Amino acid sequence: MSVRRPKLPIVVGVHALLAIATMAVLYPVMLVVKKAFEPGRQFALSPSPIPKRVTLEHFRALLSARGSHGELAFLQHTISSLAVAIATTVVGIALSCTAAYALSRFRFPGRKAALTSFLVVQMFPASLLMIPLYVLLHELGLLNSLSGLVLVYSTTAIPFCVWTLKGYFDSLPRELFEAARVDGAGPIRIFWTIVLPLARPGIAVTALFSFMTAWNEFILASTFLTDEGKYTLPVMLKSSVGQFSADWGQFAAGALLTSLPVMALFYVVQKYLVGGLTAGAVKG
Amino acid sequence: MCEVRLTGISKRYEGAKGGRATIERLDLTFPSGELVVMIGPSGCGKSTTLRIVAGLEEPTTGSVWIDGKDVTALPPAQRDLAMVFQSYALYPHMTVFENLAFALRIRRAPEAEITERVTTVAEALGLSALLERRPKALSGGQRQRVAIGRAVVRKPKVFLFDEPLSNLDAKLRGEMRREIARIHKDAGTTSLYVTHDQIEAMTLADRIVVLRDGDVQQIGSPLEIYQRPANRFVAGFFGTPTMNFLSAAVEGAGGGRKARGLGFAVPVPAPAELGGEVVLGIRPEDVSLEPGGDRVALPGAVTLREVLGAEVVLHVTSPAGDVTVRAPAQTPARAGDAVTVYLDPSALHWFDAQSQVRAA
Repeated sequence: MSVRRPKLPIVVGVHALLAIATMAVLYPVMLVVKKAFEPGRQFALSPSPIPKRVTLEHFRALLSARGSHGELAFLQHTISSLAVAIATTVVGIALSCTAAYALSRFRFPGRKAALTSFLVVQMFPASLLMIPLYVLLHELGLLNSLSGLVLVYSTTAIPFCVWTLKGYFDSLPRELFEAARVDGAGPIRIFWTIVLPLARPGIAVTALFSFMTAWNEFILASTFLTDEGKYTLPVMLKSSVGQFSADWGQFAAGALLTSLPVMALFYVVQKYLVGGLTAGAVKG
Repeated sequence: MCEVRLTGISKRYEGAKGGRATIERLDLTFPSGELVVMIGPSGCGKSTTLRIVAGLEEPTTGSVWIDGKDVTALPPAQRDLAMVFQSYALYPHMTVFENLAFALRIRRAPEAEITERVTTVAEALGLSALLERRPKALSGGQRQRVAIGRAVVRKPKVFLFDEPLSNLDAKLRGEMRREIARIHKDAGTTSLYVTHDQIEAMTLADRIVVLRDGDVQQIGSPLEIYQRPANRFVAGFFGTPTMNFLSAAVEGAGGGRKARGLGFAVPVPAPAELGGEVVLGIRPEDVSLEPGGDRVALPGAVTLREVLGAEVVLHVTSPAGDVTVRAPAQTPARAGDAVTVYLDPSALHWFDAQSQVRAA
């Protein structure tokens, strides 16, 4: 069997197009990288993505900046962000795994309605939910608290997680569940010993997404958190760029550092990504 | 030792066309210690029946009795049966050892006993060297052995086999068939075996249940089913090549009655209460190209000659219809040759043309 090689001009054309598209995606990122390592507070007007001089001064300033109580501000906000993102992931995955298992494997009254409502709530934009959520958090006394933020993030992440995981669970062969049932396993044991180990790729991908959503979220966090000491990283970054003074150098450095954990996570779960995504995509 | 009994079992699927039942009021007894094969074309309800026994499907009506106890409402876990699936259904993330030990662990068997039983079963099935492997590192035959081992290791009251050999190639299928026969002989456990393969049914079964559209067509030993099929469907279902069917009409009265078809006439056996239109069935091995005894001649022409090595199969068209003949390998007849085939009247199966039921 032989695949016909495309003609040279076509190869060149396709690669040129891909190179341009790649540049278009990477250019803004490169400008941020350039700013992070370039001296000066202002964004230079030069379109070149390569800095003339390189310095770590912005990173030094950012990491050593102290908050109002003398704590290391960036570290403090990183801890806030991590706490919120990890708690959101744990709560979200724990609840959506069990919900997705039930929705995938059992037939009960209200099942269709639950699935539909999970889908429908996905369709509301976050800005629309902001006001009712604000009222709810106020009533619960959870405004300006990280646990309130975790609650909000989990509830918004769960519908997506449930659908993705349900799609993954649906793709596990029915005979495995039947074999386990005949072998004497009850639903909870099947969940622990069969479903969870086999669904690891799906769970990894879903966890990554809920972590990412919580880690990057800005609008809700900036609305509900009023105490500067509790700011998550995106809110803290935004607040460093004010109307009258803007230190774009520190902003860029902070943005780079903020994206590191997500990049690291992506690297760790990348082997699951393709399989997990398609499994979630084609089924359910 | 344990008997399985189904009484008045029906299964109707929601939303099925016109609510037609897959199974309608089925009464079946699977005697203790026997290996009963349920066979039939796809959609005949054989797998559904097995799954109802397992508790994986709920019957719409009727009850399932195991060992004299009504288990209809019990979940599979409490019925103490083991099932072998067509797709093996091995737990992919567990080693062969863990797959075999799974059910024992659920029953909280002591670790020493688990090890002992798993090792014994693994040895009997030739899996000893594979205990640390995962299912994906096994061949199809090895996987099937693990699936069977997983059932055997539990020493259940009843074995259920759902087309366990359909995914194997012909050679392995023969091997595994003998393996299952040996296991059944050794353990003597009541076994329900679903297949659409008549060779598996003939070789393994103590008793065969032939199903069609959810109805029992015949229950009997393999030889009974082959030698005295209860109706035209069963007659055509068993045997390769399939039985020949010739239409005829009964004429005359008393001792001289004859069934006359196009190109032939055969005497009607004495006690048979036959009249009007009949269908005569005759197996290819009971048709010969040699005259002799009281054989009945039927003229025809060979359309196809299939060489099987030890014998040839000749397809002959005759005025009465197509006739398949099993003949010795040295038979000279070739495609296009005019031949006369001879039917052994004592080997004829008589069916009523209307009801298709066996008459003699």
